[in-house]
Amino acid sequence: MKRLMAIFERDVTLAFRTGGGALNSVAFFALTVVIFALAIGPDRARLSESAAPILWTAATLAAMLSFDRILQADFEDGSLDALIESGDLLSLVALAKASAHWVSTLLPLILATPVLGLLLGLPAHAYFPLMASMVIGTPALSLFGALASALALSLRRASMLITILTAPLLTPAIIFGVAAANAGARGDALFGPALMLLAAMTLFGVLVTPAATAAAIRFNTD
Amino acid sequence: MDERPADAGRLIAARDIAAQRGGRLVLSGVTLAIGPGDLFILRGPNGAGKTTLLRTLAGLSQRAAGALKRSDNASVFLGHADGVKAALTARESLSFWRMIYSAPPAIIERAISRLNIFPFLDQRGASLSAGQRRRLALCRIVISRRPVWLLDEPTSGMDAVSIRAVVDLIAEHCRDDGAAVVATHEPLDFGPGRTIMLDEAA
Amino acid sequence: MHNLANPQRFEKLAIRLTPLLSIAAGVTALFGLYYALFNSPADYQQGESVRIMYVHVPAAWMALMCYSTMAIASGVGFIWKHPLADVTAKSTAPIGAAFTFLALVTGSIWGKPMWGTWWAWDARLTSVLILFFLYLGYIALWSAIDDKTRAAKVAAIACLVGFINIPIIKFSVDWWNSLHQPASVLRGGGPTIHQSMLTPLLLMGIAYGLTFAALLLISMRAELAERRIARLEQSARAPSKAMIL
Repeated sequence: MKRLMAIFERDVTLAFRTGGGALNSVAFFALTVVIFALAIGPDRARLSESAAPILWTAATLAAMLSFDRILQADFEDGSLDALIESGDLLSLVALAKASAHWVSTLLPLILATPVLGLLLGLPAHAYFPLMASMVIGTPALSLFGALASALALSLRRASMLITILTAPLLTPAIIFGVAAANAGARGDALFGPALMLLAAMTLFGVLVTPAATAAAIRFNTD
Repeated sequence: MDERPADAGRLIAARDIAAQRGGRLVLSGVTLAIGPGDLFILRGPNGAGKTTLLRTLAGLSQRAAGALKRSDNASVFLGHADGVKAALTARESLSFWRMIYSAPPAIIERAISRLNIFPFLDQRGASLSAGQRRRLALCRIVISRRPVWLLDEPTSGMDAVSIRAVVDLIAEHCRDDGAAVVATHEPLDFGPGRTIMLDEAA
Repeated sequence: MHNLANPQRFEKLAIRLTPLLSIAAGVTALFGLYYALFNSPADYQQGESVRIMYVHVPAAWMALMCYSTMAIASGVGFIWKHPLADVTAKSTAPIGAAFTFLALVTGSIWGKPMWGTWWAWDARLTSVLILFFLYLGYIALWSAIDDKTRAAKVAAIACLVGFINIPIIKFSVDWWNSLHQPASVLRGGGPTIHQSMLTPLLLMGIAYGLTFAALLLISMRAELAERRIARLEQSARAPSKAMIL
């Protein structure tokens, strides 16, 4: 457990130190939202109606671009061998790294969401449901992202491939995430069934992806 | 006939192993037993499979055939890459390794003095020279406290003084009932020790 | 030795089976198309355009069938390391992707008279579209990794994770669709279908299945040949032996 915490802490430290890696994701997230707004036009009604889907989409895209960092850097500089050898279950190491990715990359996006919601004219009562849906749903992104990063481990410039691999797997998270945000904004109790389904999707990710990620790391470092 | 477990007391025992790289069989029929005190210099031309053999002994690569027995946490592997993060200081790297190998704090002091890390202890990996990074990478091997050191070109990029320190460190580790397999192209003098020649079968 | 013998026996069998399967596929398709086009009733609601169903629905069946084949082959390759398993999985993927694409195109053509538009976000069609992207990812992964032994293992993981995700994707898309519009319009198959429609549908399904089998054998032989070439092109260097001095 101590060892996993050490891996988690190191990854978070590195994400914030390496040329503002995590902050770049926030900038990308904000720019995507701005591009959406510019493309849709300044009509406040249309923008505020699309705010939740836009924010979920932009967060997903920002996450996808950062997935390759989860394992690639450790693979290239040889640290991954040390992590494999350290004796911890490799699937738990994968889980620690996915958690570090969530904290260093997706949590800042969620924290930036209120500001961007303001730009899009998100109604006041819609903030909490949107952010809650992101907190519950985006861990699934990090988990499947870690898996895709492991699958593409031996490849350089893999982010396009990683996007193609993860996008179909992440459709349920996006569907349930936006639905939960909308249901919450409508005032449905507990944000309707969508929030439970979203939580189930994250739980499914926790159960399935670490073992698959570990196997992919093994095969790619073989 | 002789079913007596000759591998008893061995840390790593490989029998008749074969290994692939990139879908091609690079090694075959390698039998090697590593016990306390053993020191092997691994030599062979480029592409003979030195790295592959080390990774296979380390359990990092799957063998294509043969049997491999390893006692728990038998070995630690240092590859061509140093595993040193550009954004972490030497001190941070050391304490991270101490955590993942669950080693006592005193081991860091020993590693720092043996590999002369002190001059750049608070510099980030990005500002270290190749030889300094290599020395730092070797600290991980010391910190791991694993008995068998599997080292791939451990002295690459180092000056003569550092090379001497590394050779002494490895020889001392083996005298203290450790073991090492060192792949190198350099004429390192470890004193006693055996040589594994890897080459195409004639 | 077992590694070599097995693909050779397979080749012999495949060479004999391919023409038989191709002929059987052609004959079944002819019968199926005859029933589909001339010997089945037009739908009282959809009119003649219902006949697109006979090419669309079996393609959608095959889309799922091929992915299941890949998943089973991946699992077999994983557990029993059968030398032909990953060849099967790899060779199935482009065929499955082609059937999936056919299902999408025919679905869109069918949609035009039904909905008055080339694309409606119908639940079935949307799931098939996402399935198509799963195929693309799997194929892209195979082609990105040079080392075939490694590519086989890594792609197998991607395939299996995709496979256990399919029900979840299907459920999420159905659920998403039910939020926005009532029932699905494309109702291929199902017990409510009339006997006169079932005959051509099943015949076409069998024809598609036989086509898949024939294409799979051809494509597997091509893959095996490619691997032999790759082996020949590799350096002739013999594996190293160790001498301990």
